[in-house]
Amino acid sequence: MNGNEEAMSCEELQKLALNGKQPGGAASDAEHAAWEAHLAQCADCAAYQDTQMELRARLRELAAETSAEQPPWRVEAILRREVAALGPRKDSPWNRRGLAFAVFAAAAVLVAAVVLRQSSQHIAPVAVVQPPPSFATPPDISDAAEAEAENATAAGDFVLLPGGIPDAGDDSAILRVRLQRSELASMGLPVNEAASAEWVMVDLLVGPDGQPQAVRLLR
Amino acid sequence: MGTMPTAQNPPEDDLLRRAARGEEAAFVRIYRAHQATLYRFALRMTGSAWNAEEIVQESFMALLHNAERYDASRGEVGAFLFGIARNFVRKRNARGPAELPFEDDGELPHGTSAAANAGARGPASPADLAEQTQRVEQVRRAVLELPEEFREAVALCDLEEMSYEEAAKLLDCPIGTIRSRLHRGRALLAAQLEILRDRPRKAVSR
Repeated sequence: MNGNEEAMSCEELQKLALNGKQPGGAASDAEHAAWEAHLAQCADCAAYQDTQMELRARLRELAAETSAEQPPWRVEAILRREVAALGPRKDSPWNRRGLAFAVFAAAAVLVAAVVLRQSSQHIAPVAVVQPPPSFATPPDISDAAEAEAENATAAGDFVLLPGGIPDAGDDSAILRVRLQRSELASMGLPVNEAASAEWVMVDLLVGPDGQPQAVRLLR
Repeated sequence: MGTMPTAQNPPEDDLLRRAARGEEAAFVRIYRAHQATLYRFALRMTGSAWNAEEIVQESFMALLHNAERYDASRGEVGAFLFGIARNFVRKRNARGPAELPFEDDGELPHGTSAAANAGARGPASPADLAEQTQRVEQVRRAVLELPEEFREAVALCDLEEMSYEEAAKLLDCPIGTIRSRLHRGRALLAAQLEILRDRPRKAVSR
């Protein structure tokens, strides 16, 4: 207001109008009075004020029409797949964790043996067999993929782990172990987070290099 | 953009590091926090839903693969992401007009028809809806014809209703620059839309 509450210049008024302000939103009664007085005597500024109000209204209309816009779901799915692929590549789990996994598998076999003996089930804790006859497709990252993987294993199929070799050869072995579902997730399989602490029995197909190649969930 | 970091809401720089290591849940949180704003920004800057989708995808890919280049002391993850997206927008726009402009496929982008919008406000006559659709399309085209810097300011402040401060953070420029670009952009829009027709004009020149 340039220290003069009684007058408002065209420049001052247009700056306020351009910011979307209207006389009703004046900072003080004095500013409001000066604003209205200027509009009453200046046709240019009155037109300018109207113009800005109409422009804002039309922009709001466009904003409202497009406020719910968002990318299609497939974008997130593609990106999630990319993220999932980042983990194994960067961490090289089969290289770094291979030894740790072998130790874990051996320990798990011992645990399984004890558990199975206690439950009087006649399941061999460790069995060396020929490779399984069929494999399910490699797992995806979605919930649907988890269901698909579980259905495949329920049907007796092995599910290939990421990086697994479909035909592991005659030197492969099957280890029957008991582990938590979260361990399946660490192998790259889709797992329902809500059931990640649940214990399950699985057959692990271990290749000649000692690395797990595929998994079969036992019901 | 952004919420106060807590145990349940870890800071986005932490989420970004975890996402870049392959932690899907961390990535999803970042993605869902920014995807809609980024998409609408790209849509308003390119005028093409197809380009906007590509830009969102490319921007997040670049974010993941350049996470180590993010410096939290220079700004928020959202601003870093917007910087990436702006580069993709410029590249797309440099190739020429959008391949699939809104008006060519005979329908507005999903969820944006005047009819769909009017549903919440009560019944409107077909003539009213047609007029509204035409009016909105006119404004959309006028925004697309703005110089890029002005369009960015209008897209963020007028269409996303961000404050000058928020827009300045995302566009990595002073608030005064945003204000100036916005004012000039609005003046050009008013002229473009011929809102000033038949009225005495106190021009704000280009």
